[in-house]
Amino acid sequence: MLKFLKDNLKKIVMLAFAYTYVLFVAVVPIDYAVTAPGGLTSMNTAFVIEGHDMPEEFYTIFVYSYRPITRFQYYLFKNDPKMIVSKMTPAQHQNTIIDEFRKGQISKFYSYQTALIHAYQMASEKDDSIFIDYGFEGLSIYSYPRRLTEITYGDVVIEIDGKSYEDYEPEAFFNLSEHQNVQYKIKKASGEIYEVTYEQIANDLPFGFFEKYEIYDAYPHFETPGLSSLTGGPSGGMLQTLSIYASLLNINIGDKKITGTGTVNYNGNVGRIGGIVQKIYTAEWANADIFFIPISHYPEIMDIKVSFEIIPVFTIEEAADWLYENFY
Amino acid sequence: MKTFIDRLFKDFQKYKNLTKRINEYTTVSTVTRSILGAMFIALIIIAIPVIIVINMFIYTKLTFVLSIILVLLVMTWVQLYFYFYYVLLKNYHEEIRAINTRIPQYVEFAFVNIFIVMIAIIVFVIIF
Repeated sequence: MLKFLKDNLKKIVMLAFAYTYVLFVAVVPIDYAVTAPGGLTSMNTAFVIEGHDMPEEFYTIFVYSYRPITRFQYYLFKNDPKMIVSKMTPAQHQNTIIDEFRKGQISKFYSYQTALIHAYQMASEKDDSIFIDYGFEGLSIYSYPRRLTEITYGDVVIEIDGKSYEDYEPEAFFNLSEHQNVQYKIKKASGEIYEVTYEQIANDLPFGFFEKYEIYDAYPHFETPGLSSLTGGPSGGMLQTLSIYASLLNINIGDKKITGTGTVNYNGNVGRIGGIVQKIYTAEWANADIFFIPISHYPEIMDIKVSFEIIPVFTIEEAADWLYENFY
Repeated sequence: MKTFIDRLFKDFQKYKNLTKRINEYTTVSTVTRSILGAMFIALIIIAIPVIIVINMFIYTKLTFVLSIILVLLVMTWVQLYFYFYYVLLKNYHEEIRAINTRIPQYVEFAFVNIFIVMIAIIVFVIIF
């Protein structure tokens, strides 16, 4: 063996260099992230509504986000129109995968609550036996400067500069948070209350919030088993709302596969999301029939050839009305 | 069918006899060194293809095909491991060079790979 190594030393050294280079390219991460097409999640098991079947035809879409990627992946994906390769943001640098997972779960919780509230409210206009009672309970922390170690994801801001959430409409209270120097009173899930004085400094991750709603009572009663799934994020809000709405009003969708994407805020506006192009390709691969999209995203995808019908909407009411008129 | 089973049985008997003969010459030290060396060489050979396949898992449409390729690569690693194990063992013990190690190599490879395929099928059924 040693004789073989000595005889072929030159070739072995050259091979070792080539090997190390390939290994380096395929293993060492670089400062880039990629967003790639993902898959569909059925809304059928996400909610359980007493006395109603959840329709099987509604699906939310998820995309995959990987970071950091290797140089090999960078070369592979940079010219692929179905992928977005971009430099990592400061937030992506500072947040761990666990942080991202927690953020995804918080935004999903917000999305579920908002979907239930909107769906019940819209359905109650068609059927007055349906009702929902809920209240605004502060701002759920979704992003924060990492130097503020006392804060954890999901803590709820109940006072901003001495002003309580109880005295404000959700949007007005949300707007109070847009200060660079501010004092927050925050409530943890355990009930413990603490105060944080925040002075913005350079390279700080900004504070990010979702309005926190508590649903006190609703008829028909509901459960949300989908909250325990691993996928997260707020972009399924529109489809979650539509699936609950269709369930409450027993709308028969037939064999159409309905999907789409878009957050829904307190006012019912459908908001922008990340990875819209990748979501369009995911829907195409999954043989979708109808795709709901925030109207502001429509110009970005109108040149992509797809085999399904695209419904651009500005508000969740528009989407629900379209569904009601076409399938009820 | 009967001939095939007979052949299998015959090969298994040969395997038992050959391993018995090999074990007469080997020591714990040389076997340990051969195992570690074979694992290392097989790993060096298989590492780059495995890493490249793992790098490509972002293509969701290819997940199933890539998973099968990954299983095949693991099976190749097992094959390489047993090949280099006997090469190194022969290197340490000249007496073994005359013994046909191909049958022990294939029999052990087959046993391990049956186990790997079973695990792979269970994992595939759960995931896909």
